[in-house]
Amino acid sequence: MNAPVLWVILPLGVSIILFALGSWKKTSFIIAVSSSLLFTVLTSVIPIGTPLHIGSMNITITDSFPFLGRQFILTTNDLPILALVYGSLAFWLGAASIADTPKAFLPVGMMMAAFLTAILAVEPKLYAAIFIELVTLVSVLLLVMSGRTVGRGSIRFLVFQTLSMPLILYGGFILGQIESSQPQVELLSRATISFGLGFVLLMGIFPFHTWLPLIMEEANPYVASFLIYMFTLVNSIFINTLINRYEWLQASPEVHIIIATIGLIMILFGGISAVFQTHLGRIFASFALSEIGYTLITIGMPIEIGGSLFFALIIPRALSMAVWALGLAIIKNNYQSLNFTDLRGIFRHSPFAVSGLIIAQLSALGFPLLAGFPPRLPLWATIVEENLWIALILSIGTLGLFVSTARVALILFVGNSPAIPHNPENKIARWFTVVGILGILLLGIMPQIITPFVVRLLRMFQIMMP
Amino acid sequence: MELLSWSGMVIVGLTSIGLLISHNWRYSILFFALQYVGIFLLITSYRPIEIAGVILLTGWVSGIVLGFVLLSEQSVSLSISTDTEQEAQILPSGKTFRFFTICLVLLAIWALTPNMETLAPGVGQAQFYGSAILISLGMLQVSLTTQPFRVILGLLTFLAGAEIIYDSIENSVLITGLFSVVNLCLALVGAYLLIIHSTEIKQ
Repeated sequence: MNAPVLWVILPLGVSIILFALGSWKKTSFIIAVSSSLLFTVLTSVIPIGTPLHIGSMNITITDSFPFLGRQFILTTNDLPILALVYGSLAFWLGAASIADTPKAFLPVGMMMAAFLTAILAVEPKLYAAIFIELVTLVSVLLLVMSGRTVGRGSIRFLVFQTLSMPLILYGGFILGQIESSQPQVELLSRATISFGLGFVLLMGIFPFHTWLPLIMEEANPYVASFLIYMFTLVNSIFINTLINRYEWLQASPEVHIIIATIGLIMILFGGISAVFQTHLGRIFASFALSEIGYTLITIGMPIEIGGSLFFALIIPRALSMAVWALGLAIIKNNYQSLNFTDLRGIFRHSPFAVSGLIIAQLSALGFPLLAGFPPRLPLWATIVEENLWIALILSIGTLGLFVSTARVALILFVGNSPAIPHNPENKIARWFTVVGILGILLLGIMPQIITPFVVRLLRMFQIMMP
Repeated sequence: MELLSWSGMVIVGLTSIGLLISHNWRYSILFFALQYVGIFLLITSYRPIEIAGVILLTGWVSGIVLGFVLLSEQSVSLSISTDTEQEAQILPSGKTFRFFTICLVLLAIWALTPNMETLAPGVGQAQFYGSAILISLGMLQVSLTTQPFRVILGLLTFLAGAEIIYDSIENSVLITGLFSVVNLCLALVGAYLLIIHSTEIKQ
């Protein structure tokens, strides 16, 4: 037995079983949630590389899985990120029944987690680009199924992600050449341009971000949010891993400055665009752009500071996005719309969903005492010490997010509400929302509870540091 | 071998132009299938014939999948022709506009490709031209339409171009296999998009 079989092949098997179960909704739901929880628990129970004694049996889980001349490798250092992927998957799948997701959400969600683990495991790392493409194809199916329409967002998402794949593969080929010979300026610039373009397309960076708001409008908001969360998580880890793997990339101040500048532009753009949106889904997309910006800024920082901030932002983001998406899904189910004009004063009828949405939004902008604040505080402090102009741009972006949140709150709290929904918030929806809100508050008041986990996550990069 | 590669390049060029200009989906599928014959000829010069055969079969199967869906979903096939005609009306002079855009792209390829050969050392000239034509005309196809059928054909064309270059610089069975899986999955996704599009039209 080896680790990639356990966290890639087995989840793929579960996904096939879930597809086969089809219309047996309850059974599929139980299997999907319990297996994702099981895969999460296994990350802390199963040691990789050391023998495990079960009764009289000795089982050793090895770290590599050879496949057609290449390797899939998962070491002990990768286990925390797997725990995060499968743990968050359990939450998203758990709340899926409330969100009116298509039948295929459970199997496709599980398949995505398996492919995303393959992205983290495959060696050489560049082959990950092909797995990202496979995840994209599966995701497009899910988007179209959930929205029951072939929208422009799904098409653009498919096109941009597909165009990025050869660029990353080519960049990787050049990097291989650089590693095996003396670095030449021409090769270095070629690799940087190829990778840069590939990642701009992959991460949905301005001006290739247009699919984000579009899919939030066209598809089921819960499904679209899940995809945005998963893609942002894995793509950012993929980029960070590559940068830390190649010494010349890590040592190049220009590369870091460019990444951080793009991050700053994304925060500014996300903040400004959020102010002008009148659709709750599109506002989520604007915040997601800003989150991508924060991620890029941490990647652009020296690894000693940026590494811990990068991981410290991930957990609050996962929680905020999940609670926010749940709120969006409940509102969409009840009022059949996410436009401001149809949602005035709905707090009276859907207090839990609206509270969850507002609190998650506040947390995502870094409001004090909420989960997003503690990791942003040192980030802001570092930026202020570095350059006041950058801090000013960051403030404008954050102010935009705040104004947007205030506007959403005003719309949802004040005014004559539309007709009482025929399907008000049910108990499970309230339960999930309350757990999510408590989680956000808890992480805001006691951020130290996730510190040991962040330290474990950091091991993934520390071994790559020179 | 050299002659085969150049004839492959010519086939790839002509079929890519045909794919961009044709309004009829049947012709598009035919051009697409022929395009893979050109790709096969380009690849046989540096990879074993079995590997080139796999790539050819993958392309044909992708075309068959899309073709079958269009045969069974009459409403979509009708809408593809209508939409293309509408697009042709919106874009200045339709076919002429496309033709001149293609000419410009080909001119750019002809001018730039000799300087770009250092980008992928060891790749033959015919392969490089063929790949550049597929990549640029594939991207052009994707940028000129929002129809799922045309977008998928454009993406498959683009990927075929990238595959020629990447296959020649990295001889890996895994890469060939994964590219084939991606192409087939893309065709299947395209088929699904066409079915959903058909349901939308019926509604």
